[in-house]
Amino acid sequence: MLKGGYGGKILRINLTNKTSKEEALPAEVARDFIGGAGFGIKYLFDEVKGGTHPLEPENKLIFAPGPFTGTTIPCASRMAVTGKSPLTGAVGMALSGGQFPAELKFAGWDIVIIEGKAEKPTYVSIKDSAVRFHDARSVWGTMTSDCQQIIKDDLRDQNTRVICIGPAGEHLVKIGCIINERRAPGRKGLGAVMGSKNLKAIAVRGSGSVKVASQEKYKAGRSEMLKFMKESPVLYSHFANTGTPMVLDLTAAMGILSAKNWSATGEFAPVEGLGVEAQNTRKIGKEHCYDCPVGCSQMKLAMSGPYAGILTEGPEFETLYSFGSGTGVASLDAVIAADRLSDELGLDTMSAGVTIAFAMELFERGIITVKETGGLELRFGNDQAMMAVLRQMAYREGIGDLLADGTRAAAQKIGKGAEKYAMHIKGLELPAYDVRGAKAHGLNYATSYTGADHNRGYAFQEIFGIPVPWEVDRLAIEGKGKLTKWNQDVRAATCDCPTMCAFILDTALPGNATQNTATLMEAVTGLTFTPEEVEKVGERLNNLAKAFNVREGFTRADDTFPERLMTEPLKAGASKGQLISREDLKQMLDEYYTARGWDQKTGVPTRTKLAELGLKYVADQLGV
Amino acid sequence: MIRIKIYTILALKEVLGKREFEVSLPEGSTVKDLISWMINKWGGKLSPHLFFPGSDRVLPHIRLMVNGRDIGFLNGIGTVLQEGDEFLMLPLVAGG
Repeated sequence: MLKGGYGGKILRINLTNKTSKEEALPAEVARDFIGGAGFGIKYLFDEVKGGTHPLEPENKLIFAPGPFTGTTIPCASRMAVTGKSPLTGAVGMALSGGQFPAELKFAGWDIVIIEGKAEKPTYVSIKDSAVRFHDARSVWGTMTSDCQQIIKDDLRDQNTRVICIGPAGEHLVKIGCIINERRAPGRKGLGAVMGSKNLKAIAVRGSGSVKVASQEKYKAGRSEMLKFMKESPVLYSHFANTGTPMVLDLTAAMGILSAKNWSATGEFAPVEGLGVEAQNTRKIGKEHCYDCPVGCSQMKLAMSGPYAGILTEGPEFETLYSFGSGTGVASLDAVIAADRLSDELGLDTMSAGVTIAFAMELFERGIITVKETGGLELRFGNDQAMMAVLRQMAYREGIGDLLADGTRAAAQKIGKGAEKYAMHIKGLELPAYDVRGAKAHGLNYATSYTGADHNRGYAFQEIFGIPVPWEVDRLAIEGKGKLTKWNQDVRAATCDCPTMCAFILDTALPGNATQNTATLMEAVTGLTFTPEEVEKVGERLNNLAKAFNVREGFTRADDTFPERLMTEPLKAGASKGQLISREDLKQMLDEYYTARGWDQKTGVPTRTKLAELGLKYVADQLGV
Repeated sequence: MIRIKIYTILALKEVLGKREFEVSLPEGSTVKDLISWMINKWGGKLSPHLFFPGSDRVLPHIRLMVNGRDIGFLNGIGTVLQEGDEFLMLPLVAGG
């Protein structure tokens, strides 16, 4: 019995025949998967058959906030968007905060599943239980901020919340994302999935509220969480004022801020240009997600050169890497402009920047020339060339067409040894942390079910030095398999499913995350969990997601790194000399699969493990 | 004498006034000696950022590294410094 937290309803929208229907949220699905990414992966595995083309109507897009979303539990207005990724062919799951997730709950929905393909460009509006299909031809081709405003005007409701795609998603660019106000469930190409369905936008407005099971327990649990947040030595005192860019200063000091397509980490570390002090010269305000007391998102205004006057929310740390250190660009104003342009075009800033950095290295090495770039001197540090290519990617023009599907696809087309410089895992471009100097963080890149995704098992022990669940030597290989399993399961169970902001849990409640989730689940939903049972939810999610990928043909060989990480030691900085050799990777993977109870040789979940997690039907499908 | 390169960031950098600099210490100096040297130089401004009030116990969220390795995996504050070593002092950071 679900007493609160959940609206108890799933909305299924079929674009092919313009119908919608309501289904009850099964209580056992809530119990087993909590919400968010758990719901997304459960319905993706169950409803999208193995071998489905990600850009065909049979793929689905699943939007799922969590049981705390829409309550006043802090930092919980988030949602997972899940589908089969056109970029990787694996699970595509990305999270986003803002206001939209809470609004979806106010409208009464725990999950919205988008199916089929509209005949013509369409947008869908959801007002409580009413679903309408709108002709979107007038907004097709618009930038994302204009699109959101036009739809608000069209619906005569400025308080409606809109998510949409830009030109990139419309052109089926596989690094295209969905934009949620100025935020994004950005990675894995889910914008292209939306574009393939001719779905320009979803607008939502709700008039309800989210009930809680026990007011008394809710107040106590919320107060406890706020107390932990207040006691954090960094959350309000620093993070609230600087946001994620402070990680640039940190990773540069540690010698793990990736630079120039991972060829110059430790050598090129533009802290003066892109670090916190530079950020403060461009900061003009901040933004909060619904009911977040922290407000880490910083509004920045470019003030110099051709970029003067361009405003953006961000750039976040990862974007400072992808359009900054990664491309050899040390101008914050250029990165601000690239961030804003990506948001308007609906491009994932991370994959876009890494793909441009890849092309820059190919240009520097003579593998591509001005013939391919249309005359652009696409060298490291050339910010104007970067801006030009960015635009071309969204419209599939010129070299942009070659790069629009990310580094893996581009390398395959280019040949001439280009794959050696394509910095991706399973097709997803690498995040900022040069994991040659942070081994568990690297193992998470290699084994994350979405490809190279720092957020699926962030090793805060190595990056921030937080000694939970134990103290960790970032440079050691031993013990990283067990640690990565813990990081992935706890992150999934306490952040990705409920859905809570990882920035808060990592720094305010690292040792209490599972207890915090258990306490709040009982208070909000009435479902009781032990901390161990919470962690089990994360393990279930990671096993089911892995099973999806196994069904798609992924093997142990896909849990690997680009060659550069295994053969080229870092040349300078505080991690000088570090790499993850093939033998190191083998050792970590063996330990990881053993910790997971998976077959060590193949990396496939065993029947015993799947049955233990209540996933026997998954074992049957996999034939294990 | 040995030369040690100090590198720090954010709030600690504000206190020390610079992100990186070099110091000279007698041979055989340890991390503890280096910290004492810094406390001697910056005194009351630096102590609250590094230590529990009224104590010489380093705050749990402050990370000290020698050549990129946390001193917890070396010999703690007893780690002996060598010519050319790089010493990192890192406050807690959030985000990612």
